[in-house]
Amino acid sequence: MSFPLGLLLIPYLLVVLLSLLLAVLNVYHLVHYGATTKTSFLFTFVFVAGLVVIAVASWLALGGINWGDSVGFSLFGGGPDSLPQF
Amino acid sequence: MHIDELIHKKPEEKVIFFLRRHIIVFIGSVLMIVLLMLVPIGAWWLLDAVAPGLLAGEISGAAIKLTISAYYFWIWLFMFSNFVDYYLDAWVVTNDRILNIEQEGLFNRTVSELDLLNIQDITSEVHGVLPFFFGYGDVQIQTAAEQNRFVFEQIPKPEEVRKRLLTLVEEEQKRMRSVNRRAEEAMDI
Repeated sequence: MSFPLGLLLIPYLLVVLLSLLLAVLNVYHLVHYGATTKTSFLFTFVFVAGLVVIAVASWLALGGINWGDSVGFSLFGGGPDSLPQF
Repeated sequence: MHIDELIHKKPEEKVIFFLRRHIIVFIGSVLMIVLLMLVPIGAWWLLDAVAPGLLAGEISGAAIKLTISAYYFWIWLFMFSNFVDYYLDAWVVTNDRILNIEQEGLFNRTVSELDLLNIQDITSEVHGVLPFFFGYGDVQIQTAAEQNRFVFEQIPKPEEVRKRLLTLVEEEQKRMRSVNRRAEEAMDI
């Protein structure tokens, strides 16, 4: 059984997009409820800076992987010879 | 616009307290998040020692890196959500009323109001080691109505807040009595 390795990126990107959406919602709450103070600006800046660091680190860690490769695996860890013999 | 402008202050109404949870409560959640950020590092180290093949595997290696990356995105978001929750929870005490503004998660927000004249009993509580050392606790406000008590949770200097609130309630009651007396006198004339 084989599949392109890039398939793993789909759930990953969904999770990342959802987290970004929730981050935007958080910022919206701060602005909407009038909490636009120096503290909230500072914290939002630290949050965005942290997000950038995580994104860059992820890019570097995942950049070396060839996502176009087709990978195969066997549920039994090998060919028919590795199946239990009776 | 500052958060206390959202309460639509009445003319001659003064904000006496603007209370949030003690900062140590938020710092505690940040420390927990720092610990959670160390989990993937520990897991990576453990896997490297126990099953190095998993980290080097084409599928498993990629899946583990993706999981760790997604985990860090979520943990970082969790920290920011904690900050928003902490920052948007507030209690505003004016010389006329008390406002309870509570943000619960991303989609729930409760704003309730209590007139100082309806207050019957105020209790302050400091329970536990951390609250004792850092000087924070709860202030519970009981009204005559059968509604839930107002609770200022984990605020700094709860005893001082309780005393100041009692003074405010007394002043408000005196003010109302004099207003009523003047109204009665005006009716007699």
